[in-house]
Amino acid sequence: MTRAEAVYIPEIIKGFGTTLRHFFTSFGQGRTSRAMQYPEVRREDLPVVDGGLNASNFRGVHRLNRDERGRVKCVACMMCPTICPARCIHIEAAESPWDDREKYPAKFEIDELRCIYCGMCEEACPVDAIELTPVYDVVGGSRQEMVFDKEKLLHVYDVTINRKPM
Amino acid sequence: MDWLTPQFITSVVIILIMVHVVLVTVAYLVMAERKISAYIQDRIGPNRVGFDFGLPALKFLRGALGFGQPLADGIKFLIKEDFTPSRVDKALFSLAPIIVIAPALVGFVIIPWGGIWNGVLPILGDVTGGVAVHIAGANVNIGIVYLLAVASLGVYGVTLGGWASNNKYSFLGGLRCSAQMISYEIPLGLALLAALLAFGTVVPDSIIRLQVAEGWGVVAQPLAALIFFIAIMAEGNRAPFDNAEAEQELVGGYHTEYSSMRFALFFLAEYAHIVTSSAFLVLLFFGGYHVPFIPWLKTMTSPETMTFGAVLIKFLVYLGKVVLTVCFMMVVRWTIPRLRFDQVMMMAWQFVIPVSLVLVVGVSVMVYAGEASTYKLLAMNVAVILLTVMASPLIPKSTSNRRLPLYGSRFSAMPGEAVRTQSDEPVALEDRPVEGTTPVAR
Repeated sequence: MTRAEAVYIPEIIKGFGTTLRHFFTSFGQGRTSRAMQYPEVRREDLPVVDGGLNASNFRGVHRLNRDERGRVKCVACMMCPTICPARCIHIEAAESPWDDREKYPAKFEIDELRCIYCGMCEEACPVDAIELTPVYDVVGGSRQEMVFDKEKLLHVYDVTINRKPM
Repeated sequence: MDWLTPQFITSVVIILIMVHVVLVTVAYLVMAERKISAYIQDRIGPNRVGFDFGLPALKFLRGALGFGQPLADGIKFLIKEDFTPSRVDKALFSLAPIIVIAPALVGFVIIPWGGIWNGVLPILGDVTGGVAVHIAGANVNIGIVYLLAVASLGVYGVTLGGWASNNKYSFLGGLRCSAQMISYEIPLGLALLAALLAFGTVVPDSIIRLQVAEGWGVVAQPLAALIFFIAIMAEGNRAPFDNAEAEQELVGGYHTEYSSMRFALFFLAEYAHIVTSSAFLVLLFFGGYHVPFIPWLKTMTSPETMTFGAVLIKFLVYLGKVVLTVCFMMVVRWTIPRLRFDQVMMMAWQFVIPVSLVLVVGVSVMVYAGEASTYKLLAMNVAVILLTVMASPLIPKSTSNRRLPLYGSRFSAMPGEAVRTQSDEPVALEDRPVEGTTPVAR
């Protein structure tokens, strides 16, 4: 600290300069403002280089993929509930009604409140049946409502397939 | 019916108006602080809440500027659970917010918002029977002394709140607050004394008249104004002096255990205190309701103009100055980091108090010698500032509260000091397993 700085007052005035510069340049969402008017402007709308959301690797709500015949792709191999560190995936396997696989999930439930969105299930899945989608604004009125069952997860697939192709 | 004079009725009306004006101002200052801090940090701040309450019929009141935010905050405070923790001192716990807010709100009565009014309304004509009345809650001769006395009472509520909460953090916050307020009361009083010695009066309206005639107090005594400003920020527990509620150290400080409206009272009191002190500062150093240089405003805001319009303009000018002062305090808050508590105390006792003592002695001598014109006082203030800057290296530095080097820390070493990176204590050097465990073979 030099003698001039030890007086503090000039340095404090310099500090006011910095503060007020930011105040006036970002006033009313001006030049330096870094905020985004969220529900109207969303990160998905921005290009990735400008801080937009990268749909291909964003880890949001899960979906269960369908195969080309519209059936659930899952073969109920239990890899995802095994790897899941939050233990939020519950599968009840049953004998498959189709002849191209032995098992299929009769029940498939993910507790979205317990899930930590680590993406391990997606990594573990041998048939690419479970995937994380770029959907992040999911709400529910109760805890039970946030336990997504098979129909709901397949519905997530239907609404996100355009934004994130398989 | 002797007591029912025009002045009495005016005072009652002014008090009724001012309580509401001040409370609304305080509510919107909270929002202004959020907005200002947001813009300083390149954010936007509250901008959603309007007055539509979610009703489609009131859609036209939906606000893009967030002006409904204070109302929403107030409603939230009112309907939240008012929780009293177990084993608190119930009586004091409830009393503390009241003791805090009362002095903050009664200080306003002596502020001369609009000077003197000749009693003539625009359409109704003369309503006071030709008597000129003071537009102030109470035009008392001890004005400034009263304000000083009342403003200091707030510390009791804060200390009691900290004590009654039965919480270590609250207690520490209360203790810090009382120590800080008592320390900064001294420079506050001394700077005030320097100003009052030069004015030669303690009547608020006369002080403004003197400033109109001889130039604002800040021109005559910039150092006294600076010390006064520092002291009111410390008194009001404003950053950079908000050690009493330092989040990083004390959770929430003295109001850690408070919730709902009782917390809101502390919050409101803090802002009301700031508004009172700012009005005080404007009264003493920034010419009250007076505006210089602009010809039309200059005549309208001079104490000799007493029409109803002039009173309104004076009131708005005064309030504008107060709001500007508070906004400046907010900029200070977001510019200067919080001082450590021992630095706050050191600053009061080793810097601000000695300087203000020298200032008071200087002003006293000048007033005694009859040499107290504006420019001579200004020269004396500048001389004291230069003296402070020149003398500060000659004063021996205190060695207490210096940083101590830690074992193994390369960050807290003093400059030029050899750093011991390893402990030489035998216990720390000895490599032995924790008692009751067996060492694992590697």
